Amino acid sequence: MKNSLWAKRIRGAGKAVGRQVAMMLVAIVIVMIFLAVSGYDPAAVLQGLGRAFTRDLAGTIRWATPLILAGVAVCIPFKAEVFNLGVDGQIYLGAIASTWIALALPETTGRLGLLPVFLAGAAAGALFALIPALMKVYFGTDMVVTTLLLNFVGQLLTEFMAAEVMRDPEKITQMNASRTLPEALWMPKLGAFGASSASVGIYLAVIVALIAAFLFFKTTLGYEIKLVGTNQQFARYGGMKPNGIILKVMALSGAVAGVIGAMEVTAVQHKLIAAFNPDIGFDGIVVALLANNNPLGVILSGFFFGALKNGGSIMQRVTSVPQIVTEIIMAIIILTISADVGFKFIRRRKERKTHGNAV
Amino acid sequence: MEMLFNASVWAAAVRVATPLLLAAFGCLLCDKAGITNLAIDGFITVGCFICVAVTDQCGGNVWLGMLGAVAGTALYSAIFGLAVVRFRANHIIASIAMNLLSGGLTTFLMAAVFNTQGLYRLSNIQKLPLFHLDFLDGIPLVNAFLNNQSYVVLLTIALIFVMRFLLRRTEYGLKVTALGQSEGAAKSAGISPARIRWSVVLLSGAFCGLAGAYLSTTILSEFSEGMVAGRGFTAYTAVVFGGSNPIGVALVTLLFGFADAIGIRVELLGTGIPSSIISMLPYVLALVVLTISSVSTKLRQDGRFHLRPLSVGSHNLS
Repeated sequence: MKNSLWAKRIRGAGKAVGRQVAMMLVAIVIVMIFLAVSGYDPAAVLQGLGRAFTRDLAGTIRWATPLILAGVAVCIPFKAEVFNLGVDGQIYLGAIASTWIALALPETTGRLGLLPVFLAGAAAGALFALIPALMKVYFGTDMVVTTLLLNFVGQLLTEFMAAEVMRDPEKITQMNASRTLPEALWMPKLGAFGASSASVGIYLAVIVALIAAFLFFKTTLGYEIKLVGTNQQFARYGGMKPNGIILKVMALSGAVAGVIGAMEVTAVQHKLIAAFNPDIGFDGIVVALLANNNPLGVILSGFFFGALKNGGSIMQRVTSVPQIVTEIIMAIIILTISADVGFKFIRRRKERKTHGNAV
Repeated sequence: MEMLFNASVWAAAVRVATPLLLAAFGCLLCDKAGITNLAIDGFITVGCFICVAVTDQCGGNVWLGMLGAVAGTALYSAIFGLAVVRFRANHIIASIAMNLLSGGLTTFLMAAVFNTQGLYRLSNIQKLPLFHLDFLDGIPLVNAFLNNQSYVVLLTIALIFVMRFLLRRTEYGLKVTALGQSEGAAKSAGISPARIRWSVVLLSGAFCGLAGAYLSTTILSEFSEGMVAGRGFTAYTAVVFGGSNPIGVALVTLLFGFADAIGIRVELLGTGIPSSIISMLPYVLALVVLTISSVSTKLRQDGRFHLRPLSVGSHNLS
């Protein structure tokens, strides 16, 4: 009995991984054709990706860290059919709060200071995510638009904080940045890669994904989230409160987004910079979709997209192909998944086979 | 205070509102047919790019640029149509993908076509003549609204009433509304849902193409990354607020335009308010407008307003 269950699970996991790889490959091939048509060298994509997995693995890990977290931040509300498109705004708020705390802490706290810094980031992200959630619950305001609009508010607020309130008075050249964090509050680097931007934050990202998986698969709240997402009427009939679930998933999602902000500040930038965030939240949507909203799958797809992002910047450095093609690859992947093209096509062919060629 | 009645502020407000309203028309049609079209933001970006590219290639002829933008963006919107109508993709997710694709594609093509990054300025542009009638000079508000504005502004103002007529009085408009209200009922009345949906998506592309063309060759004469700055989302807000009434939608876009114009005025006056706070104004205003509109909807449903969570079932989760 148990044996067959495990075999089933392994087969399921294998299918999930195969699906992810297949989607990536299709999108990459489309972009390569596109590049060839526009007169670039299509092999540049492969060259960039190859180096992202070998010599420049550190860069891949640097990007995988926020992308895994962003995938988790997106997939928690997605599971309840709630759309949090405001992850980017919540990242900004997390960064503001954690920089503020980091600069206010006394020097004596040392490494231990990272704890309040990350907590502040998570709290700020959660509070910012609760604004649209409360508007939804009390006024019935469409959350898709409010979260999108709050992204701009968060970004401009960061610009305001970095350029005015927390601006480093001694630096005249770089206007829109705060003071640098004390070195004790820098996220430790991964020893294996020497001087790189890969930090031990990747462990934290994986742990957060595992916690999210535990939440989904082993707790009552996870069950409630899933039920509210699949059938609201039934969930209400079973005594669950969908409004409470909206608030809970948004707070959790915002907290994870806030952690990304704290991570970017402590591990990469070491200060608050205006517009430091290259739309990681939106990338998180692709990560979550490719993983089919499964937090364990998010670890894998976050790593994939980390490699893609890193490969893109390598490609721009080494060849003349602009980095932006990675964004096109992502868009193609989302479109394909949302349209479910591949699966419908395969299903139809299977049907045709079983029914003979009657169609 | 005198700013509120300043003719130049009103004229600027109309200029800012025009692309918003054009995009909102497209979004409104889709909304009526039951399609949540947030991809308009990306469509405007593509419209901006096509207009600049065509104008540049045709020796600065803006007419050709605009024509190209309308046709090209309508064609581009077919990708969204394919995903949403043909493959029944989730509207919001497909919209996000389209916005991502639009940003990526235009930046990539800017590098491929113009060999630049970030910004391309049109050097050979021949700006379109502006509308001017001497006898309107004496009438205060009308003068600000119409005189010395582009012909696109006039067209947009006319379109407000055309859209109202189209939606309420024509067979096509009624079919669109019927489809949005109940697909089953529309089907049994002999309406082809796919055909109506395709038409509204393509029309929204055409409207956004014109909006982008106006933005890139009439207000400015350049294409730059991120120049659309979420205008599509503000346009969507106007549609949510205005409901089925194009005049209501127009008034909300005018409000956004006015806020923008006041912001620019305040910045020029040098009051010491940081530019980041001033640029936040339209987005905060959009959030306030959204809240007011949802509170008023709630009032209409319940008869009176209580600050208490909505009973679920009266709204969708998203």
